[in-house]
Amino acid sequence: MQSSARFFSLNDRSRILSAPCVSRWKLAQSKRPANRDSQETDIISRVKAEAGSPLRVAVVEDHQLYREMLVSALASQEGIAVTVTAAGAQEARALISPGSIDVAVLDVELADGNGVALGIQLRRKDPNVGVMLLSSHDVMELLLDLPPDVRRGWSYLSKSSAVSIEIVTRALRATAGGRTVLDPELVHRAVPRRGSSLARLTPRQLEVLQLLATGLSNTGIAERLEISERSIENHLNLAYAALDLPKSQNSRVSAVLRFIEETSRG
Amino acid sequence: MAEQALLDREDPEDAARYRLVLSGTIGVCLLIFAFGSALQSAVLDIGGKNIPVWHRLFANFVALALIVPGAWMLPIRTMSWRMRVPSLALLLIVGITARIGVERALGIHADGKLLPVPADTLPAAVAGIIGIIFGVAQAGYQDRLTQQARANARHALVAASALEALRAEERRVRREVADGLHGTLQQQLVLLSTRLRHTIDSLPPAEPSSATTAADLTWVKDELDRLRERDVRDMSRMLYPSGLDLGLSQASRMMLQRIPASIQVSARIDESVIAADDHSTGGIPFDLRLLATRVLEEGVANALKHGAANRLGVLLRVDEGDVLHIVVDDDGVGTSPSATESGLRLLRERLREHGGGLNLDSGPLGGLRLSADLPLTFGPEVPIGLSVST
Repeated sequence: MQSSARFFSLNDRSRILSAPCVSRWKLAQSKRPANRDSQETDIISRVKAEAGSPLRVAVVEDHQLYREMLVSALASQEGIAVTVTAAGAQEARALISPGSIDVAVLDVELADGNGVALGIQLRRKDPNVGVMLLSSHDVMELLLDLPPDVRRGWSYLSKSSAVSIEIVTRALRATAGGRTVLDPELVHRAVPRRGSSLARLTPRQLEVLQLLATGLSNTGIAERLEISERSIENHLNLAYAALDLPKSQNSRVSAVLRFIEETSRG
Repeated sequence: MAEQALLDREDPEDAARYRLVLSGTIGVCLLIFAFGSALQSAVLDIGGKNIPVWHRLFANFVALALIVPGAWMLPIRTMSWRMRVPSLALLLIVGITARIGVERALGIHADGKLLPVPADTLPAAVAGIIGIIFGVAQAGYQDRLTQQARANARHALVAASALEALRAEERRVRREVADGLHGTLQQQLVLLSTRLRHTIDSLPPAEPSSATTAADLTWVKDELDRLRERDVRDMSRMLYPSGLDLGLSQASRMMLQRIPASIQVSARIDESVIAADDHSTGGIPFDLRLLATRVLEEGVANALKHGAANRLGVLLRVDEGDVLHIVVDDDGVGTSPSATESGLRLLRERLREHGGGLNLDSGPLGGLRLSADLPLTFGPEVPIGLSVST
């Protein structure tokens, strides 16, 4: 049963890899216009989902009960396969080989190390792997100090805010697609700091940016706000301009990082 | 006793160094004498027999060739003085005897008789004794210096690991108490508050006394919630600032993030801080991280409380000399330094203990500027080549 499933997924994987949109995504990674990426990464997740290949997830968490609950909750979700579970950084390093997972869920405070350092290592070995950090404290600022070469595709969810498994699943998909997702509860609690570039946004622009930070695609934001996707794009472009984001980097990621940097969450 | 134990664990290098210094010093002394006495005898033509200078030199060198390797081979360093003196005397006698033998064979001294001992043997013997005494003294001195340096290094290591253990213990206790406050105490307070809410809800609404009791209980409940939300959390943070484990940059960012959004903050945490705090190379020691976070907290708190500031500028930077600079500027009313001094006095003392300092001055934003320096590498240096073996 297991081996046949594996064979199947391998087969699917080769099909996905040969799909033109994926190679386009890989190409686009090096040189990409700011706003196209969300749609392109959405395409990958969609292609994967359609092809029946599950999102391969590694869970690294040192609290046994929490780990087991998370793994069983994720396993019950369609299109998600937890392929690696580890109780510590060392074990994770031994078990995860490049290309074997799509996204890693890492506890920040591991008994034998630091989830951030582990994530950086995993990403440098495999540039396509997404990293989702979990912590019982609000340590969103961690994403600000990441080295520039690994900045894309990092997400943060707080263990203490009431996140549902649906939110985790959505965030995992977005992270695997190279987006940066922040804990929705923390995002909605965040207030732009006076005098910051974020405080210059219109309420609508800020709202769109908040939804973007929670990992929604443009389509998702459009559905949520019941306006057209085109106007979401307009709002975002105006917001990026107002924030004066660095041109060299991915605007979606930079905007989310700016959001962390210039808000207070009490 | 302890010193003996240290000596027992010595390096084979020490023995080699002793041998080299001993035989080298003796060799140099005897070499000077060998040339000096041979030339003197030849020039003055003692005995009046026109003996070639290299004959005398050769005899002297034979003695030297016996004494110097002898000093190299004998285990003089580990001998007691009772063994050392006879051994060295014997070495000298062998050398002198060989010299007399060669001199006679070359005809320097007539008639080939063994006795009486030729007149120039006495200065040679004296030169030999001086050379050997000088060599032993020199080698012993060098040896003691090495041992002293090694003992000092060991003491420094012991002190450093004791300091490290203390730091680890402080960290553990702080963390445990902070976790206790954050976890256990908070949960107990939540339970108490919930129970109070249930009690308030279950008061019979019809009775007139219920209203005042409910109001009282609600007040108690609100106070309890405030206590839990603010005081307990603050205390927990005071003991162990959040993010401290993740690095100074993280702890600082988290602290700055908590400043109310109505205060304008422009913070710059330089790349050099992140580089200095790299986990893979050990990073900034825990107590220095804690101290730096305290300085930043105090600076911000002072600006907001005493200076009534609306705008803050924060800079953290590590310079080339591994000194951390913390600058907090505000646009507050610029209270005279003496008013805020008391709160900063303790921090200044602690910074001084670590070789740093703290300064309050008027700043570019119109209020005060607090600037603090904290050397990140300060204290007993552990010599290179010695590592803590625990």
